[in-house]
Amino acid sequence: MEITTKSNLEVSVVHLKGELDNESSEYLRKNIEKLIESEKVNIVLDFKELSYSNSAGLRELIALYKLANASGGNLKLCALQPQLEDLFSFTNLRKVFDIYQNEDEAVASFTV
Amino acid sequence: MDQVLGHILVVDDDELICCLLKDILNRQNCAVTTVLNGASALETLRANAFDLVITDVNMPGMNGIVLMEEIKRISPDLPVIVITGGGNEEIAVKALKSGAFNFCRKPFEIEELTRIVKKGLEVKKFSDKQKEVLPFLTVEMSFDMPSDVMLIRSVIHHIYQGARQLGFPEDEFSMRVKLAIDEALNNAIKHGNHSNIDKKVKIRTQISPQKLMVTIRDEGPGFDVSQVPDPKDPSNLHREGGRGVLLISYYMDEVYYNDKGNEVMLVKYAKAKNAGDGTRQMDSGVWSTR
Ligand SMILES: Nc1ncnc2c1ncn2[C@@H]1O[C@H](COP(=O)(O)OP(=O)(O)O)[C@@H](O)[C@H]1O
Ligand SMILES: [Mg+2]
Repeated sequence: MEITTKSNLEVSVVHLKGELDNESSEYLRKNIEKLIESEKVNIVLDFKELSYSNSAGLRELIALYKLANASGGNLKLCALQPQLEDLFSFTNLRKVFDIYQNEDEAVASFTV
Repeated sequence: MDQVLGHILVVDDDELICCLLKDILNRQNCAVTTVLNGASALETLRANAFDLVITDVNMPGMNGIVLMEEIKRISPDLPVIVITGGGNEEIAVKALKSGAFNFCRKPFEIEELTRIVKKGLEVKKFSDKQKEVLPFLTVEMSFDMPSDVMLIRSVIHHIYQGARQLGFPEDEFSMRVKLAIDEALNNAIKHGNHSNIDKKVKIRTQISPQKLMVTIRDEGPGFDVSQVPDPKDPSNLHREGGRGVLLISYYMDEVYYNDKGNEVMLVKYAKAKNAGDGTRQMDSGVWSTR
């Protein structure tokens, strides 16, 4: 999986490309932990180019969501592909995460 | 006209080129359909069977390379010939790399073009011939793998390659199948064998054009699937784990656990049999459904 991050003062957008599985979940965690350590706690994960997540990926997302919240921030998701949309709906995880259509809406939700 | 050599779809935004190609190819006993853009090409391909596609690269909207990649997803065995502007070697190389059968430069050399088209039709005929036996084929594959989660990806890749060979699609359907196998293997390795490399996970796969069956067995004590808490329940929503078993039953058509609970059989039909949730759970009997 490829991860690219762009941060401004308020929000960091983390773009994920590829598949979230056992291996890439760890890589994601390292990246997000680094952000949170540097006090960038408002995070948007852009799923536009994420095609797959297994339950190890979901596990990591929930752990990171909790971590961001415990640090006074939040972790939100945007631009889910249909198959991931289905996965999040079916598992009721839509009730856990704030999910937005696109990056702009997700970023804006932090600044209002 | 003598016997038709094949049906060819020509895609070019220039109507004159379409006419010219149609004329050339008709003379070679090919039936030709022409369309002016990528979108109509895909629509036409979904509705009709073709033996070959010839597409221009530079078109408004979807360009020829993108169109070809789309075509390869729908019908990987359909040869695509790409027309490039004169002297543009880079595009030609790119086309070949993304799966073009061959390329042709404008202005056309009629002899070269017909030679390439005939070759493409031969290749298509051969792959059609090979496909005749597919309905009677069952691919069986087994793995005795050590309990290492890093091997899961490759195992799934092998299994799904077999499925592709038998006509299973590469789209959301494949994502579902892969995810279910992924979860079952993770559970066998982590919960069943506690990631002990010396313990084996046995995988048996049987794939026919109608049905994919994967059996996964670990060396652990098993578990009672009916005791697994429902992760969709509001009180469990914030738990980090506990979604694998649910996802397996959601994405497969049938799921069977053996009595002990250390072996699971996943079944997926090529054509949706009972759409939606195929939850089956272990109860008293072996390989029973509920
Ligand atoms: N092959 C197995 N052997 C033993 N226990 C298993 C096996 N598969 C699943 N389980 C049990 O079922 C539970 C739920 O599994 P699952 O839904 O995949 O969630 P998770 O793996 O995140 O715990 C596991 O925590 C484990 O206790
Ligand atoms: Mg699991």
